[in-house]
Formats: sequence, C-alpha cells, structure tokens
Amino acid sequence: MSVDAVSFGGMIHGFVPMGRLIDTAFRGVSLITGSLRQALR
Amino acid sequence: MALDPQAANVIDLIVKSGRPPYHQLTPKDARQMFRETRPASTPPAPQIGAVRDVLTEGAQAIPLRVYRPPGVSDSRRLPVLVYFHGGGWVIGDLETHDVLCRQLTAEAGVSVIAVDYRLAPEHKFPAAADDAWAATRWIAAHAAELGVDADRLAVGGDSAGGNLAAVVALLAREAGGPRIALQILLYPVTDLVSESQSYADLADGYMLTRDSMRWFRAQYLAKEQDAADWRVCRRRWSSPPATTRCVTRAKPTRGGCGRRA
Repeated sequence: MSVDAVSFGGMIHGFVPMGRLIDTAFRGVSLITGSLRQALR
Repeated sequence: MALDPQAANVIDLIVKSGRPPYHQLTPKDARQMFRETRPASTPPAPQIGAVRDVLTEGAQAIPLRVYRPPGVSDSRRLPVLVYFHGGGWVIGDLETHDVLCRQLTAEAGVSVIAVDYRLAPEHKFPAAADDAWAATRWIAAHAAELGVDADRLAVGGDSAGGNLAAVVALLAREAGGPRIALQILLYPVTDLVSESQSYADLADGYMLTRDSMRWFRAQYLAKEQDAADWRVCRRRWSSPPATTRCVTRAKPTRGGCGRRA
C-alpha cells in the first residue's frame, strides 16, 4: 500500500475547483489525474 | 499563516461581497448560495465526450452523472473514478462539481462518475456514507452498461466527499470488493470526534471557518455519539488502499501532512 500525501502551502480549503482565480488549482488537478493514470493504466 | 496571494484574493472577494457565512444560513439557502457563487471561481469547462445522467436501481435510487473523455467509442470500457463532491455533507451537488469532473475526465482520460448522495440535515449520518457505498457497488455491478472497467476503479472526493471516498475504500476492503485501486482524498474530513489545534489557530479568515465546520458537523450527525463512529473517525482506520491525499495548510481541520507541492 502506498500513500502519497501532498501539502499545498498557502492554499485554502476547497481550492482545487477554483482554477479561474487560483493557478495552483490546476496543479491540484494534475496531481489527481497523474495519480489516476498511473493507478488505473 | 501566510496565504498564497491568489488564495488571499479569493477571501478578500468573499469578504467584499458581504455574503453571509454558511453557518448563518438555513441548509436550503446555503445550498443555493454555494450553487450560485461557484461559477465565479470555476475555470471554463474543457471539451469532453458524452455526459449522461443515470439513476441507480434499488430501494434508494441515487442520481449519477457519467462523464467520458472525447474520442472514445461507447463500446470501450474505461478506467473509472467514482467521485463524491464536497460541501460538509450538507451542500453541493452534481452541478457544483460539474466542471471539476470534466477537468478530471479530460486530463486523466478516464470515465468519471459523480454521485449525488443524500444530504443532511434531511438525511442524517450515515445516509451519505450509505449512498456512497451503494453507488460504488452499483457502478461496479453495472460496469458493462456504464462503459467502465470495474477492475480499474478509483474513488475520490473533496472535503466531506473525501471522507466518503475513504469510507467506501475501507468498506470495500472489508467486503472483499469492489477492488479499489486508488483513493483520492482532497482536504478530506477525517475526524469529527475532537477539534485539533488548528480549529483555534485557523478559526476564521481562511475560507472554511471553525463555526461553519461546527455547523456542518451538527447538520450531519444524528447524535453526539455518532462522532465516534469509525466512518467519521480516522483513528479507527487502518490499512487503506493506495492513496493520493491532497491537503492544505490553512483550514481548521488541518491534520498531518506529507510532502509539499
């Protein structure tokens, strides 16, 4: 079992869907999709 | 707590809008405000393939929204992410997280199935968890007709949805299936038993406030003893499946963290 825990410093709760206002949101989306591609290939 | 300037700007916009905090609203009004304010922070939706709404069968029909990436034939069975939206088990729905689900679909190239589980306080604990589990099992059992591969199944969610994803992963382990290849927990709620130091340190001014968190908790739990139930208490969790956990530093429910992005 592997756990990848990533902390986004300076971010607020609920930031991942806020790409219109917060650029880091897209990094959050990319983290998720990268994990999905790797785990579900 | 030093906020990212863009995150600080979001909070400034909220303050300037004069909108009330969730805990000062009725659940119905809180849902409406969440739904109406969401687009202001949401990016344009990417182009994807087919999107369709379906209902699970059974005593409790649960609405689902099935997303497929572009350029994929209907007959091709795709890996699937079962997604549970956030909103303190009280607010949020298929619409509030529609763009995020489209982003995940487009970028990951998988099918995403969003679950519109029952909300509190009309449906108290453990209704949301029950729906999350029932929906996941139904998706696995109906994978062929949904065009997904039940052997390549992940669960995920944000905030309260992260809690539900973790619960589903543990239930699946105990039940011997469906096999969960990955759980994705975005700033999940993992403990309603007690308030960590961050409830005091970050009580206000960082988007999710202590008072709103207490309000969500009160709406969800049917009775105080529910807070000790394993489904809302991470201290009773063990041996989860592979996990990607994304957390933030500035929220009352902040817990232990791993590497920094």
